[in-house]
Amino acid sequence: MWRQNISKIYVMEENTYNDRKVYSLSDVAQSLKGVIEQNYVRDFYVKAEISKLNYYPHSGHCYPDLVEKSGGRITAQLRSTIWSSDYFRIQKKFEEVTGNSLSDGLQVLCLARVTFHPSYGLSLHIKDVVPEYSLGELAKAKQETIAQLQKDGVFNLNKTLAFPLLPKHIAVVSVSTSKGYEDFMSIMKQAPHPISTYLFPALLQGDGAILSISEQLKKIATMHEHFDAAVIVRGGGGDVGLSCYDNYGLASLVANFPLPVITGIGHSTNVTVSEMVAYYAAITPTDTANFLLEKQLSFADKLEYFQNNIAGFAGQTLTLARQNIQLTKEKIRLLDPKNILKRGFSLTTKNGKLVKSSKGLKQGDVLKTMFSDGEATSIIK
Amino acid sequence: MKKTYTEAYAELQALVRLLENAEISVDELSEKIKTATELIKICEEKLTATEIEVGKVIQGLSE
Repeated sequence: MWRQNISKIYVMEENTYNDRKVYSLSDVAQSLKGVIEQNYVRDFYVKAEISKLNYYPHSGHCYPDLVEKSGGRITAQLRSTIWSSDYFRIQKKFEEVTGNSLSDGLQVLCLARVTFHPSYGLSLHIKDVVPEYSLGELAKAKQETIAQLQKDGVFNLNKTLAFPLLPKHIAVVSVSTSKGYEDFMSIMKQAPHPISTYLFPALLQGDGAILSISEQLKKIATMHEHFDAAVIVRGGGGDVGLSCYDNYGLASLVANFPLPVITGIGHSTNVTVSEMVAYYAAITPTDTANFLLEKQLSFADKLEYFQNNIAGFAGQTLTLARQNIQLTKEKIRLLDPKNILKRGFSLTTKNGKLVKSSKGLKQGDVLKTMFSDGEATSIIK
Repeated sequence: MKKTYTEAYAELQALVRLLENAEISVDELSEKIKTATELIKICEEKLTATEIEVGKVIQGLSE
């Protein structure tokens, strides 16, 4: 088949070796190039997943590895090329529309053409990317994460944790050099009573963030009894590269975390799933720190309130008890027969038993009557 | 055996209910009144002691 094409397209230098026809590698490559370019004459749209972006900042070119998966297995794989002249424009438009950079793991729809280069081989030359398609795929993935967490029954789990009355030790997942971390720490330093923070450095956006944050969260989980809460703060990174927080693995880790998780991811677009399942999602790192400070202040307020009012509470209890005793004393006084007799009543007994009724009394019965100041005996006539 | 305030107060209330409602012989009556008066005394002593104690603690708190 290709021999026929070779003769047709490329006039090759024929060589022989012991009567065998021999072609050079470049002959074959040139022939392939001819076949491919003859058959693929137009640009077309291809949907695929970027398994690895392979962007080279020095040259500005990008060589994404494209794959198609089915049931977790790769069913097709092809290298591709975005030249630097296209890359900047494509990336800029992509970020504007999706809020994410072109990055590993993204589903993309590209305008491309099949090319073949004798030295570099087969490749898809990507000329444009349709960001709206990726946006749809991201939204779909986000909904799937939410649905799965709800199915797992853990969507509100972190929110049901009891927040420590007085947070003193905080595990912070952030980057020491980031603006967000700086903002967070500057507020934390204003705490009237020091709150200690421990930094667990992690990448906070884009490629690698999922793995990086997950690893640090797992590390904190192993020593969670030393902390009152975990905080994820990011800032100064703009709104790009936040889809990592919609990742099921990461969001699930946050939802199931043994400590309350406070997020301060700092963005203005849609809330990510990790934030939805967190104990509290502050808007900025500054708000995150303020949340913790307020917890401390409210505890201090409560203490002050108790201190100011404890005397009052104790006094109330004692006064009430005093009143009850007084009331009982009065009751007893009224019930005491001595006091009743003083008021002019008398008690009548027959054979030592109290007589409460005239029925049953007979002539000749001996009655004893008690007065407040003495007794008298009488016989019924 | 020393009664706590709560015990003495509960006993006292039970006694008051008894005195208010039940048929009690004259001899028993004066006996019960005596017990009630003793219980009242215990409660009052406990209250006074507690008031002094609480007063001291609160003073310590504000110092």
